[in-house]
Amino acid sequence: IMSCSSSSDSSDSRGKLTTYKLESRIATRDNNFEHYTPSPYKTPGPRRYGHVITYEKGGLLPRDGIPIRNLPQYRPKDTWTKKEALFGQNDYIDILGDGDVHPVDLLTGPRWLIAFKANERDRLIRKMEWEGPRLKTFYPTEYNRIEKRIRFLTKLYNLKRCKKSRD
Amino acid sequence: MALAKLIGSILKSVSHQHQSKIFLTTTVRLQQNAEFSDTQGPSEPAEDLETAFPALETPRMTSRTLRFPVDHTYPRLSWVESMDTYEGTKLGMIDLHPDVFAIYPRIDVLHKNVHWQKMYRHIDYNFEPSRAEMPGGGRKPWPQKGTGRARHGSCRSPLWIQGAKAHGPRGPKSYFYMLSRYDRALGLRAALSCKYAQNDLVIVDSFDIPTSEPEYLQELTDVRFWGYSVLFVDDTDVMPENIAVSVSQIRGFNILPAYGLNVFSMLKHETLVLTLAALERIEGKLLDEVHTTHRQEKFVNTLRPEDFRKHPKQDTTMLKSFSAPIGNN
Repeated sequence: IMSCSSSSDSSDSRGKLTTYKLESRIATRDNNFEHYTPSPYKTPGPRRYGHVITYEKGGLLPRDGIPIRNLPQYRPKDTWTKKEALFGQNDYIDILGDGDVHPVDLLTGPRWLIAFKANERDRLIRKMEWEGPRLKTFYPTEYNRIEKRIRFLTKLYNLKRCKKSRD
Repeated sequence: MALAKLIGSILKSVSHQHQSKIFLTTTVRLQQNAEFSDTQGPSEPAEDLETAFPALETPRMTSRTLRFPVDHTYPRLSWVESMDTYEGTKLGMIDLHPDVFAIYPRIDVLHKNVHWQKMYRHIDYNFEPSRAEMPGGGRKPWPQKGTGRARHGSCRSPLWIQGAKAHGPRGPKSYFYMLSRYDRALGLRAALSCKYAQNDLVIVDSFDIPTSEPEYLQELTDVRFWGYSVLFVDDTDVMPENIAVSVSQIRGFNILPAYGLNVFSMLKHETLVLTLAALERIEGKLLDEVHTTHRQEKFVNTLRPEDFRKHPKQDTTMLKSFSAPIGNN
């Protein structure tokens, strides 16, 4: 904190009309550099007596040890990890291997979704074939949600949708 | 580390019409203190052919019988190298079938295969609940008329903040599809042809290297100008220990069995190094696909929930003893 006090003593300033701006907060960061010397002249002001300027005026943005919040720095993905380097490694095993393994046998994921592509209703119906009994026993809310969704989609697909709707 | 300099390599061109035996060597001048370097060449250029090209003990490969006839074009040639020294020795020159290694560079087929490899296993797990699945939203927020505000029926409508998404992603969704065997085999052939045409294909007799230090393999690939990333392909999934250990420690080097070869990996790695056994297997399998007479079958998914059941189904609703016939004791 810098204070540019007037030339007169603090005891004399009470009776005087003219007061000089006291830099209670650093108004500009330019004053902060190493070789700054306070102005020997009287600084103009004050305007708006008692008004404390809380914003930073001019100069470089302050850091104060707090970094400016930006988007995270771009870090390209490492494409040579073990998983990425050997991506797709057994996709042609039915051609180049002995013929007893199909690449579909090596797929991972939800069991009802392996090697199965369909619209939402067919996916939900297939999910119920696989998971229905288990959902009904342990997750009745989810079971009810899927049942209602199937009913809704049946009506939607058959009564409301046009021919080329997506999904 | 020793740096080998190839000063002059005198080679005789091998024509597929001439069947004479030719000893193929390169004269290599090496600095002293050379580790794993080739035998010392003659200090002075020799006049006689025999002294210039001394016969080595290892047998040479000068040709290779191709399984299917090549009437429409000519067989392509490739060196067979060894990996026991930094520079290696040229063990021979072999024929490659043009239907596998010299087809037209089909970029569209490569794209098709790479897209299939990426998408057929992809499952999108994004899920946005609909307005019926969100908590709350059952009550009418304010009366229909009289308030001056817009009419609304639910606070979870898509119009509202923190409301539902009308047509968002719905649950686990798969992008599975299958390319035909022909398309996939064509992709492999196109990738191999592109690798051969761009000098990125190397044939090696075997992967027996003297040490498992990764520095040996790094130096070897630097000397031979193999790319930053190298894909080693052997016949089976049992590899010599040294190459397996050293490849696992080098970033960008990967080793695969022949059945693991795929278009994506071939395009990802700059250099492709095949052993002779792997070459025989891959070329044989791809030629079989080209000349097969079986019809392209559509893939049909026949998985059922019973296939995943680990334990037999227990009859918990009715005890079998009650329903068994009385006569059996």
